[in-house]
Amino acid sequence: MGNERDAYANGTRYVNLVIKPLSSEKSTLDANEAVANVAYRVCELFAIYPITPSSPMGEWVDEWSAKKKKNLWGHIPEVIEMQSEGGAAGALHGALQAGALSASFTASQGLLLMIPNLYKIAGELHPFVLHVTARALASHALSIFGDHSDVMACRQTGVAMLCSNSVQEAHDFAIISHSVTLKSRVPFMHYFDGFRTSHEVQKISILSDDDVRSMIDMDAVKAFRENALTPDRPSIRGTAQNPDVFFQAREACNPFYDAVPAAVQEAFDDLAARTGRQYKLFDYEGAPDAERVIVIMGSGAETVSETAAFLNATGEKTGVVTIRLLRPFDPVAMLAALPKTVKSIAVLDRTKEPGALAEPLFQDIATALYESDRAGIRLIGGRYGLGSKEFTPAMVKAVFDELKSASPKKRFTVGINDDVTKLSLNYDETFDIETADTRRAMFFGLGADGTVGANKNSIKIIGEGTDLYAQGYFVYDSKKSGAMTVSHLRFGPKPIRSPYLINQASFVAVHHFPFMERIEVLAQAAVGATLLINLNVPADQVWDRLPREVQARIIEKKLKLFAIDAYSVAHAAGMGGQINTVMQTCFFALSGVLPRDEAIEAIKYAIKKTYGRKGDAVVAKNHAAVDASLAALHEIKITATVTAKENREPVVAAVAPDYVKRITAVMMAGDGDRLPVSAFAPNGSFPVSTTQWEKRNIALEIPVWDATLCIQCNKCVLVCPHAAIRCAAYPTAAGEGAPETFKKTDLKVKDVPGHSFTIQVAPEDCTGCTLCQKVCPAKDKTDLKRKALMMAPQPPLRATERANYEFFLKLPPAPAALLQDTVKGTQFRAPLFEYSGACTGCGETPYVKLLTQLYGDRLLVWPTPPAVPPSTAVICQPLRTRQRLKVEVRLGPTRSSKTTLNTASASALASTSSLSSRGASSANSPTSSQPLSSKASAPPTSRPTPASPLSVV
Amino acid sequence: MKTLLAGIADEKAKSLLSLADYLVKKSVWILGGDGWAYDIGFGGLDHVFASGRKINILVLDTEVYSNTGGQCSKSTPMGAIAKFAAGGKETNKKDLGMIAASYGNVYVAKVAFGAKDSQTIQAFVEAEKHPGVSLIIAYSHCIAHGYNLANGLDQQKLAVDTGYWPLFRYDPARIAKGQAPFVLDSAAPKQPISAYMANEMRFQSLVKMNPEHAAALGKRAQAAAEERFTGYQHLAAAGAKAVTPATLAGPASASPAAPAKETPPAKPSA
Repeated sequence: MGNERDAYANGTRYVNLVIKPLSSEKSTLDANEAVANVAYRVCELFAIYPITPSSPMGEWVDEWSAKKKKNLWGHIPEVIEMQSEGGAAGALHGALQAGALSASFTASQGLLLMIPNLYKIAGELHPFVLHVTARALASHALSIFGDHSDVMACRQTGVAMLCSNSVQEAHDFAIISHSVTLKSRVPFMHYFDGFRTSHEVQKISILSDDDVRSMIDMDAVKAFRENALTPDRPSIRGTAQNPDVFFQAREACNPFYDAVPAAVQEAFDDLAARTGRQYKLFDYEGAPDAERVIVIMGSGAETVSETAAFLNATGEKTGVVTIRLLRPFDPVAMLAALPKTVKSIAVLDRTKEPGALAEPLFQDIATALYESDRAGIRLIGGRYGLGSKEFTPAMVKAVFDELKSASPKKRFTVGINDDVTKLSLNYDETFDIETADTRRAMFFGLGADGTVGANKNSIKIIGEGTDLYAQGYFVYDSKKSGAMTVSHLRFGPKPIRSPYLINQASFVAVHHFPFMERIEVLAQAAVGATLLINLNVPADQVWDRLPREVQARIIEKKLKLFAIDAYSVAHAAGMGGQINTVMQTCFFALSGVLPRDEAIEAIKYAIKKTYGRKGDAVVAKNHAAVDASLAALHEIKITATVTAKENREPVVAAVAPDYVKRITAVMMAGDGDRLPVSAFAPNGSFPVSTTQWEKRNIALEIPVWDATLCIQCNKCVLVCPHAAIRCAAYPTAAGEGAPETFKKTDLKVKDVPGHSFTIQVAPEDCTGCTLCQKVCPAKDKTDLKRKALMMAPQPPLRATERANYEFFLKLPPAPAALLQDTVKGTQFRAPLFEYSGACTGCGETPYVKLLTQLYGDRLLVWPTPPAVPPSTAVICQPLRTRQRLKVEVRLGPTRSSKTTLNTASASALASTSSLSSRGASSANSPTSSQPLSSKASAPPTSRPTPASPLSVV
Repeated sequence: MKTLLAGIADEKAKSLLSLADYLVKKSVWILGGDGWAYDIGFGGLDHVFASGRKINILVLDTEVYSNTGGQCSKSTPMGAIAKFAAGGKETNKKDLGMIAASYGNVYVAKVAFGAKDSQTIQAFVEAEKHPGVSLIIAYSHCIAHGYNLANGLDQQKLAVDTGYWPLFRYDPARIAKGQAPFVLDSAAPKQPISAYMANEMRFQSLVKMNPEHAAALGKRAQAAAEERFTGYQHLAAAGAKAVTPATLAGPASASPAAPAKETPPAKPSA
């Protein structure tokens, strides 16, 4: 150890490196990996704790450490997971005191938990970097998505704050942060937008080890080590000071802060000298003689910059000032970035401080202008993009237009329809600035069907195999099972600076056909775009299977329609249900990103590279699948007029409550962006019992009950994770008038004569997990494989079982004599936790459901997540089950009087690991949740709701 | 009663009507996962254990942070791979139930509905009846374990049958009846825990990656499971006097002679 310390101290220990830049100078990866890639090379210790969307950075360094990869100095960095971010920050503080080069990764509530230690780390001037995926904080609801609420809550801690706007910048600014913190001794928070940047895949230039090494000042490393707490050089730290000296001692750090801006600029310049990528503390882009300027920080700056360039080409004079170093704030650098011609500025903040005079960026800019000779510039400020709300060129244009107006709104929001406080700016949704030389493709896949993986692979093939630039962003819905994934891919000859979803796609692929029957998947299809559908019918029947609305859209937009039966192709090729290679081949063949032959060659080459080690046979099998895919791909003839007879099914049933139709259904249809402010309760509450209206139909097979074999144990009902199979015991007369296929048998309970018994499945809510069949103990003695529950294909059963289930739900409650506290007895009671978004086969939900069956009529539940805000009692936190939270709380003894506490809307998403959240729903604290009573089912807002929440101004 | 009260004009009746719902005793439950209960929320959870209040806690134990994508918690078993434990977890799962039971007045149960559903229901009912704090630790199979969840119930059964997840109830109410408070609800292991571990990718990926290390951890995990089960058997066999697991820990830690650390001997405190 002593030798190592000496080697570090004299700065000579340069060992050949093990972490190589990822294969080439250019690489396609997301910002989390791009940042971890740098941090790992220059650190010795990471104390971490998981929180979305920063967790992948911790996962990368943990994986590399487990694989014994080495850092720049030939050491394997140590990775320690703590019990919370509070613990992680404490461990880091200790590690820094001991002289270990350390970093961590976090976001949102996790960042808040680090605040006490950030003060200490900064107050003691420890070089340290915290990489943050900026994310919303839980307020009226939890959100795992991006905005700047978390980082803005740390402005006062004393950390330097450096913001990157893109994947490339995140990679570059990672080393800038590590470099300058060592030189300046001021700890750095380096942050970038959660999901939009952290999870966006881009083709970027990777810094070589030499680049990274050149940025680390070994004298500074030596000084850091010499500052380590050690009994060999005793020192006293962390003292308490009295009123006589605390103040002046606190001011002693000022020179260190004063030196940071110049040090960052110097590091920017050093990096530019090596890479050609030049950054400034405040970067200006736009017309040199701009009159209207937007000041902004984060990925939105890219959008503003793109839009300003577009507007300037039409003769406008606009520009954007991008804030890179927010703390310490250098007003001179800011003013220097601002063209002399500027007359008005809009400052855009991606955070909200209720009650503040203005949001923090605005206040900084206002102060800087006020103290300069340019106080005459008109200044307005607005909020945008909270919780990853899309921020598009159309919204940017609205802001520039507002600056043009004679009396602009001093404070505004953009991107929503605020029909309550009227703060929002109107914008023209059709405004689009995307250029023709960029190919844009969208893919609708079913969670875990391989669509996202295949798309990431396509980006790599094209990004790393050609000169084209590539961008990928993946949107997941919030269900754990049967989730929809939408992939947004762009390819073009120039670096892609469009951190927003695709609006005009030249290629749309629907990998899971049922989506077409439920939601609008062609809204973003450009006129003349190519549409690819995976549908298991012969090519000549494809057109007739499309709903009327879809046919009309295809005709109206003059789409070229192609179809393939990918399931059959994959099956024939011996690939089981994995359709990703098949669909990927079709994309390469049709999209026009690469010439067709070249594209097919590229995909075959990629297959060879991926499967080469597994032998020629595997490669040949996959190559055969590529050829078979091309053979099975058919262009579908489009008729001149709509020929289909069937319309798309309504999102929710006609009998659904008004609130569900007006609001929940709009969210379910993927149109939640259009809901205005007035649609929502100001405290974040939602009405209960809404899950029943979302019929998801994701089960391929559902259980079918054999009344003659059943021993009426009710175990199937107990184990069902989604409350989709139920039992009833009812007076035989109540079963009269049942649909023809409704099944029943005599109740086999001696003391309760004259009753019937039924096991009924909810066909559209079942997820097909088979747990009920597995647990069923009733076997056919003549055929031991036959049980009282057997799985059968759902589609042919859907309509009849739906009618049966509706009848079932109207049956009277079971007689009290049956309701004992046993497996059988509890299951006769109505579950009040039903149809959750949990994974197929979930092992958690049956317990929660059981709780509602036992105590539903008087149950008070406080779900808890791990992210515990420091000042809040632990028992008042959101549920940390993995499923979308839908807790139903029964209030009366009968089915009809139940209400549901539904905090679903803003909750956990993603079946993939990288996208799930910590903490599934909003806090439900005693102060905010009124005692649940039947009143809770009233609409949560007393404000009159506009006739049509769909109107967008 | 509400109907009757609604018909009375008296102010007291009106006041009672507004409170009528509260005449029904509420059943109060805290629900959380293992990331919360074992790690980040443990300090607060422990405070609740110590509170003596009538409150119930249900821990849905998936043995990882399921919601953030499967990171290691202190509930993650030895030998399992999880995110943030890419090299396999080296230490044992914490015995949260025994920590709670050490208070003596906390009702504790460990359940697995797929192994013994009747015991699950019994535990829920007893916990709710218990006049103080109750804790139920519920085995929850999860996609993060890496197998087809259609086999989730079989895995639950194997977890119990191998002694990996012993079922028990620690009911302080039994002491007054002169019974041992600890009831072991599962039989002695019939198979080694490797039979359980063999079916889950979280264990098997370590076997593939580093077979020697996996074998070593597997051995230690088996020994730990046996020790724990033996300890539980002792508790179950003890009389009503042996109220807390601390009694089990042996003479060293049970000895009252052990001085409290923060009190330096023979020096007055500042």
